[in-house]
Amino acid sequence: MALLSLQDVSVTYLSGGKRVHAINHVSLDVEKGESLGIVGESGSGKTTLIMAVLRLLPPGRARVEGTAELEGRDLFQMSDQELSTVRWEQMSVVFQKAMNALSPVHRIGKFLSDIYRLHRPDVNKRDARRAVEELLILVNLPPRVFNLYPHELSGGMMQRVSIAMSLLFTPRLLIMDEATTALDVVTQNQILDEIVELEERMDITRVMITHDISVVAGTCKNVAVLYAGSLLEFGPVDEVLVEPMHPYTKGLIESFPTFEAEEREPLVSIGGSLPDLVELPQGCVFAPRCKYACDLCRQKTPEMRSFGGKRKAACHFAGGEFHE
Amino acid sequence: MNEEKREQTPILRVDDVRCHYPQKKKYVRSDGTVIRKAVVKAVDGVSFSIPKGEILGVIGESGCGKSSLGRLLVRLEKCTSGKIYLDGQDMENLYRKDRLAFRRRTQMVFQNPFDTFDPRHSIGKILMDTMKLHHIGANDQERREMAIAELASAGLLPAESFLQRFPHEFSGGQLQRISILRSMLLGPDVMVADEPVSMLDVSIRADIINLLYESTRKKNTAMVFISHDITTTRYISDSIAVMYLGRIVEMGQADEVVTAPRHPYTKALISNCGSIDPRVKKKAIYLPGEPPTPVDIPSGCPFWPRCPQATKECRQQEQQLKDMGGNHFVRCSQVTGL
Ligand SMILES: Nc1ncnc2c1ncn2[C@@H]1O[C@H](COP(=O)(O)OP(=O)(O)OP(=O)(O)O)[C@@H](O)[C@H]1O
Ligand SMILES: Nc1ncnc2c1ncn2[C@@H]1O[C@H](COP(=O)(O)OP(=O)(O)OP(=O)(O)O)[C@@H](O)[C@H]1O
Ligand code: SF4
Ligand code: SF4
Ligand SMILES: [Mg+2]
Ligand SMILES: [Mg+2]
Repeated sequence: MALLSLQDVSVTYLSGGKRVHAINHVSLDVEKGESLGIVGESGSGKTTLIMAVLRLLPPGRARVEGTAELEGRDLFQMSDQELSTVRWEQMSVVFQKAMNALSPVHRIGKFLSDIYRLHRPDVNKRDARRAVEELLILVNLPPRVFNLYPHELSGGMMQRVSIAMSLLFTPRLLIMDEATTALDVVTQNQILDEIVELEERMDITRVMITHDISVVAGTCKNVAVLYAGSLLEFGPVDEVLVEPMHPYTKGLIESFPTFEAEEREPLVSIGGSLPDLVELPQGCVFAPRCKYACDLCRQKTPEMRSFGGKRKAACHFAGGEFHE
Repeated sequence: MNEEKREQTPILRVDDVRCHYPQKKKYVRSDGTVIRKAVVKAVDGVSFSIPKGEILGVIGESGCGKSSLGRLLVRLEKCTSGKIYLDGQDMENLYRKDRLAFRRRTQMVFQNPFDTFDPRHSIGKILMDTMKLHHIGANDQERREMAIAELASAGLLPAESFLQRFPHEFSGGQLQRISILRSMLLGPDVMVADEPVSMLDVSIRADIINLLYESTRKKNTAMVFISHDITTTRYISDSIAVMYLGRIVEMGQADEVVTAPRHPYTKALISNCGSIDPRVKKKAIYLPGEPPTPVDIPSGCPFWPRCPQATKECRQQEQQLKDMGGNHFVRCSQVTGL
C-alpha cells in the first residue's frame, strides 16, 4: 500500500464570484521510502495541492474533491480530532516562512519542549529538553539557540528551527514547501543531507516542493511535474530529468544553465505564461505554449498514460508516436 | 593579446572599501561575553576593478555582504572608508557634483521588480519620465516612440497597449524586463544587478539573463551580477569574485573559479552546488560549525573556525589576496602565489 495515495484530487477556489481551478484531477502515489519532488512554475498549484492534503484550506473558500489516503485512511473524510493527531505524529509540514510557526514571546527551547510534552504527557521536562536539543544539533544549530527568542535568530537559523520542529515526532510523511529555498547552498545541502540520512534511519518519507530542480535531482527518488493544476509527468528522477517525455518538462530542464556546458549557448526559456485558471484552455493545458501543439491538442485533453515502471506522462506525443 | 586593453583605466575601480553599520543593540557571544558597541562589518576591505563592458559575478554565503557592496557601487550607500573610481574619477566627487549625471552612469536592478516602480503610474509614463529627466528625446512624441521601440525590442508586444498598463498588470518577469530596459536606456557605464532573477519563475529566468547579457554587451556596459545561483553566475560572467564575511576570498576568470577553485571556502561552495542531472553525483564538502556573524568576525583568517584546512597560523595571521597569475587571486595561507 502506498504511504500517500491521491486519487482524482481537484481544488477549486471560490474567489470574487469566480471559480479558480487550481488543481485538476491529480492522481499520484507516494510509496514508503520514495521521496517525491514536486516541481512547476509559480502558480502551478504546488502549495494548493499540499494544503489540500493537510486539510488547511478554508472550507468556504476552496472546494476539494477526490480522495487522499494516508496509510489507507482518507484524510478528506477524517474528523477534526483524528486529523489533529495525524497532523503532528504522522505527517508534518515546513513552509517557507518559518516565522509564522514560532511563538515570538517564547524561547525556542521552551516552545519546542512544550509542544513535545503536549503530545507526550508522560515525558518529563528533562527528557523533553534532551529530545529538543538533539534535534537542534541535527539541523546544525548550536545549543545556545535553545535559550534564544525567534527575533534573535537569522532567517536561516529560524528556518532550521522549524525543520527541527517538524521532526519532533518523527512523522511518516514530511512535507517541505520551499523550506530550504532561502538558505545558501552550503547550509541547504548540509540540512538536506541530515534529513535524507534521517529518512533512512527513521523511516520518514519526504514530499518536497521546490523550484530548484537540482535539489530534486540530488535528494528525491521520484518527481512530479505540475502545470496549471494538472500533473503532466511523473516518474523516477533519474529517468524524468535525464530523458523527459513531456514538452513542458523538457522546457523546464532546458531553461537551466548547466555546469557541464562548454560554450555560452543562449538559454532557452518557455515563452508565454500560465493560462487563466478561471477559464482553462480546451484540450491540453500546455498547448498555448507548446511548440509541438497541433489542432488535436487544442481539442482533446491528453490522458495520463503509463510507460513502463513508474513513468507516466500526459501528452499526445509522449513515447514517440502520436497517441489519440 | 589584449594586454593593451587591460592596461587602460578600468571603468570601475574599487579600492579597499568598507561598509559598516553601527548597531544600537549589544551583541552576546555564545560563550556569554558581550560586545557593547556592536558594528556589522558588512563589507570589510574589498578591492577589484572591472574593464569596460565586462561582467563580474559576485557569489557567497547569505549575509556575506553582496548587496551592501552592490549598494556602495551605485552610491545608494556611502563607503565607511575606501574609494571607488568611475573611469578614473572619484565616485564620491562625481556624485556630489551632479547627482543626475551620476545616475546616468551607474544603474541598479533589484531582486523584486514589484518594488521597483511607482504603482500609481503607467509604464509609459514611467519610461517617458525617466527619459525626460535625463534629457533623452526632443519631445514627448519622440520619447513615446522610443518607449514603444524599447518595449517591442524586449518582446513586449503589442507595445502600444503595454504603455497604458500599470505595474500590477504585469507579471514579475515582464516587470523585470522593463526594469532592465529602463536602466539600460541611459547607457550606463556600470550596472549592478542584485539577484535579478531569484524572485522569478524558472521558466522565464532564461529570458531575463539573455536580456541582461545582450543589452550590456550592446552598450558596452560593465555589470556586477550578484547571485546565489552559481551556475547562472558562471554562465553570464567574465570573472567571478567569491565573498566571505565582507571580503573577497577568491577572484578570477569565471570558468576557472568554478571548475578549479583554490580557496577552501570556494571549494566548499562549489562542491555544494547541485546539478540538475541526477547522474552527476558530487561529493559536497561539509563545513562544521555555526555560520559566522559579521558583528563578531574571527581574528586572523575569518574562515578558520569552519575551514577543513585551517592551521594554528590561520587564527593569528591575516591573509592578503595573493596573485596566482592569469588574473586569479586567492586569500589563503595554504595557497601559494606567484
Ligand atoms: N485563496 C485563493 N483564492 C483564489 N485563488 C487562489 C488562492 N490561493 C491560491 N490561488 C491561486 O491558485 C493558483 C495556485 O496557487 P499556488 O499557491 O498553489 O501555486 P504554487 O505552485 O504554490 O506557486 P508558488 O511557486 O508561487 O508558491 C494560483 O493561480 C493562485 O493565484
Ligand atoms: N542597513 C543595515 N543595517 C544593519 N545591518 C545591515 C544592513 N544591511 C545589511 N546589514 C547586515 O549586513 C550583513 C550583510 O548583508 P547583505 O544584505 O549585504 O548580505 P548579502 O550577501 O546580500 O546576503 P543575501 O545573500 O542574503 O542577500 C548582514 O549581516 C546584514 O544583516
Ligand atoms: S499534448 Fe500537444 S500541446 Fe500538449 S504537450 Fe503534448 S504536444 Fe504539446
Ligand atoms: S587561511 Fe587557513 S583558515 Fe583561512 S582559508 Fe586558508 S587554510 Fe583555511
Ligand atoms: Mg507555493
Ligand atoms: Mg543580498
